[in-house]
Amino acid sequence: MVATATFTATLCGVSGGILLTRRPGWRPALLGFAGVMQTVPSLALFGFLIPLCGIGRLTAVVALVLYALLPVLRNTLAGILSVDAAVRESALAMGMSDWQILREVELPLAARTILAGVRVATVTTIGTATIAAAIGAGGLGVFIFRGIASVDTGQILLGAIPAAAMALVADAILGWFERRWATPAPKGT
Amino acid sequence: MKPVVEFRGVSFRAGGREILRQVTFAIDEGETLALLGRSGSGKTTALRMVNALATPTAGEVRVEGRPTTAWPPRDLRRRIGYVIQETGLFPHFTVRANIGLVPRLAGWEPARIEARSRELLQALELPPDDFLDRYPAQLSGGQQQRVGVARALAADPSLLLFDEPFGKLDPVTRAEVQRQFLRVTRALGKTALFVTHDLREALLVADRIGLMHEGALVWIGPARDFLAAGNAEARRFRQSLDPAGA
Repeated sequence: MVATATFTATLCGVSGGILLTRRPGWRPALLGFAGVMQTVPSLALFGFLIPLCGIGRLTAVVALVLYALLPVLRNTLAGILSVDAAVRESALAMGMSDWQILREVELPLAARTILAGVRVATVTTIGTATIAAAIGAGGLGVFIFRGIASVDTGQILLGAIPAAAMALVADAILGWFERRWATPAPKGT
Repeated sequence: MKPVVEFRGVSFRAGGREILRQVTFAIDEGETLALLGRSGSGKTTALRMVNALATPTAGEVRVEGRPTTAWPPRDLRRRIGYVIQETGLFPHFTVRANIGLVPRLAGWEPARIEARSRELLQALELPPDDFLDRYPAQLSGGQQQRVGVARALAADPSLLLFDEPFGKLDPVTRAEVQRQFLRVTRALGKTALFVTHDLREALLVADRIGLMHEGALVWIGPARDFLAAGNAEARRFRQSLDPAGA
């Protein structure tokens, strides 16, 4: 569930971010939308979607994607905009097409920032996914809720610890990728 | 013989200001024209019109006889080498990848690209084996500028545009790089438009000088004639050569 949601959020967020670098007029609207999705309490978000997508996995995944959009979107936008203007101008002056510039210059240079956004999105999604159990989506949250309902700490931990561990592992793995993507060190290092 | 670049009554207005006023001149094949002027005189804006990074609000710029607006931008830009003060080298590409970029986009064979990159680095006094695998961050300012020049020359464009490329270098390095630049461009018979605010540099690199002042081209002629030009702005530039004297 988390994997699907994060993957979709990344796809949408990165594409959205790229779009926003080309269409500055859309920024307030799209960033605002993603922002609202983040601030709405996750349970409420699940609740709003139930009439549209029913109870269960689909709703959960849709909600998780909406929830994870903002960090990816914002980081993609920031990462691409932070590419040195002289570099972008040179690329243009050498006759590169917009697509070539995106693929060979902007995305590689923004990769680290974008990945940082994906990392944040992944970790928060893992956490939010546990709440999805409340709307019948299953997952580790089931143990947590059952544990709360029957006041059984063991059950709670059975859900909480793997979830936390997943979050830490995901964070570590993505962090490792992020560091690998650094552009070469300046003279002297 | 048809000029390579022609400015015909080019004006440019932006943000409520007239940045260029009715600029008219031509550059012939094989010549280097220096556009000299102080900051804000419009010389960089004029330069950027040649490779369509900017378009006139009135008048027309022609390259090889065709208006820049009639060229598909990519075709136009691929035949023009562009060197700027900040270099704009791709930080995530090696020197080899930076220089080889335009030839690669043009579909050259890797072997040909490699040979060409080595030839250019050699001509600019940067030993290829030493420099091809370095990243821009591992180069000094003068080395970066030379790689920038090599990159601009890589696909053998007939027209070169320079925007104060050596401005950030210390005087000693600047003199060295100017010398190397001159040698390479003269030998290759390139046509060039060189923007600078340094009269000494203009006198060194150019066949003709065009003086820009407040968006207008106020004087144009052979470089050696500039020293006798009567124009007030020209006189000010000559005085700047020797601030201590009269």
